[in-house]
Amino acid sequence: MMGNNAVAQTGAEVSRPRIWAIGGGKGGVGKSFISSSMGQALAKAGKRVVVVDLDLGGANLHTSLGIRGTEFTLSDYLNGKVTDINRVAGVTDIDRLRLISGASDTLNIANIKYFQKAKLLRNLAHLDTDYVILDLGAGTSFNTLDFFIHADHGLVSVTPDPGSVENTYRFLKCVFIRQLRAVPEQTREMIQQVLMHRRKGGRKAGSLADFLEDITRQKPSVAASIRQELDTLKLHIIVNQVMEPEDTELGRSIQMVCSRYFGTKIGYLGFLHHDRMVLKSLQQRRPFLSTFPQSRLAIHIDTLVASLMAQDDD
Amino acid sequence: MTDFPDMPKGRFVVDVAQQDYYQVLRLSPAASKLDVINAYRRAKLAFRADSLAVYSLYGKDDLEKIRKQIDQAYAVLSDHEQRQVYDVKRGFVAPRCDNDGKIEAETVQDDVTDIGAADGSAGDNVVDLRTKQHLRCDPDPELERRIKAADAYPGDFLREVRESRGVSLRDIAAFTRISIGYLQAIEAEDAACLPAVAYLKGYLAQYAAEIGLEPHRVVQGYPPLAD
Ligand SMILES: Nc1ncnc2c1ncn2[C@@H]1O[C@H](COP(=O)(O)OP(=O)(O)OP(=O)(O)O)[C@@H](O)[C@H]1O
Ligand SMILES: [Mg+2]
Repeated sequence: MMGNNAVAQTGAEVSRPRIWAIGGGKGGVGKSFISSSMGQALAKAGKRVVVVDLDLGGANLHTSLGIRGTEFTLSDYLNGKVTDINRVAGVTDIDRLRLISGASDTLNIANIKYFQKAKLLRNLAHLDTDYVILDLGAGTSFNTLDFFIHADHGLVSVTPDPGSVENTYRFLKCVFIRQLRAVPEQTREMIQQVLMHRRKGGRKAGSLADFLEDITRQKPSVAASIRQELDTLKLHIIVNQVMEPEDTELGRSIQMVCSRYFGTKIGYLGFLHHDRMVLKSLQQRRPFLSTFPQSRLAIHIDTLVASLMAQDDD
Repeated sequence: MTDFPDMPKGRFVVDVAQQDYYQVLRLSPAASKLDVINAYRRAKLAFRADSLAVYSLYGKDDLEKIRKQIDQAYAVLSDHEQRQVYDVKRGFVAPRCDNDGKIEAETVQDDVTDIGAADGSAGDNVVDLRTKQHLRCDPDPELERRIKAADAYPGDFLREVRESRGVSLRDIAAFTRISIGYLQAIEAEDAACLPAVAYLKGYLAQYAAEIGLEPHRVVQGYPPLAD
């Protein structure tokens, strides 16, 4: 399905778009940069893409794409002013790439109503496109987590500093707990206790992996359903803003630590270098990837996108 | 839920899940020698005391325990004989020799892959050529015996071990980031090209780990370092 323009056929035979969400607990780790760059890379690869700015309240994805705004915004859709979700996806300067802007004076991701969230979640699949990319705001509000969990792939951006790593683990813990909302309440509470209570005086609340091991012996059926829920999440780490050679190992280390601590598999997609030209392109209001397509950073982004696309194909 | 009472803090400090050596290194039982070495290096890197990746999850004592497990797992899995005994004990492979009647066949499972499926991080999105190679060269028993007995590790012996394991200098250089020139100098014992002693020890140890030798023994037994 390779439509040349954004207007394409609708119909039952049209397969639903793949949804990728970019999250991560901390602000400024590159979620918006990665969302917009991956969107450009997909468009360059011939796919139709809609990037959605879900950082309501702090929306700036249009800036990363080098445009001022779009005719309609997400709030027009959520408030019912525009009824067709495809109409709020505005064109950008890049072929095949459209944007649903989150710019709004009143909306905040934490305070959109349940029915609004449900409507949006349901209708993302009706976007007439090949890929949808969700740029999530910082933090771990329920709404943010729900969009993240809803996606086919959840990408977590982390930068090589302790604060970002800590936030990443906190974000992942919240994702797991949210994902496990269907397990029996008492078990879920125990998991929450295991994951959330802080280490005090050198004492450690054991890992989720150990808890799962324990519960497997005591309640095998509960354990099986927990594992199944966790396994449906397709999570990937991206290390962004790499400057030192040793930081290139951080992603694999995090992957190893996650495997041991959470007892569930997390993918490592790759790392992205810090590149001064990102700021330059922002200042010139030009999207980085299409302005510097030959740069090391752009090529790495192309590679990440290609490897994630390959995972969807099989 | 009476059979599942309130859990006191610290109840799971004992890592019950981590008793399996393959699990500890996040490997499948089919892992090659080189996979074992790579996984060991990665694990040591991930869980070292100043690792950024453990921040906020593990404390100093936990890390020390984990590193001990990693070392222990590596000691067994990197030693051909110990690994074989361990594999049979765990039921990963059938005992090789029929004349060894003590090893019971009842624990043996045919299906190695379903154990491998539990492996967490080794299966990757990013293609890692090194781990895809599966260079499990047939060990040369004579050489293994000489390695066991060795207390000196001259350069030509190191090269012999490396070549028998099917590891190229280029592989080692790519992974350790030690220049090929230094690696060649190590094998040639070329004093003119070797780095300063402090660096040499570090390089030698990394090189040794890459070819599955005990780093500290190699450093001790490398002739140019003997006074
Ligand atoms: N690899 C990179 N090299 C150079 N600059 C980068 C890189 N990645 C991101 N940046 C810059 O870092 C800043 C923060 O990035 P970005 O706005 O994408 O983060 P964010 O996670 O979306 O933040 P927020 O949580 O506030 O939405 C931006 O100015 C962006 O251009
Ligand atoms: Mg942002």
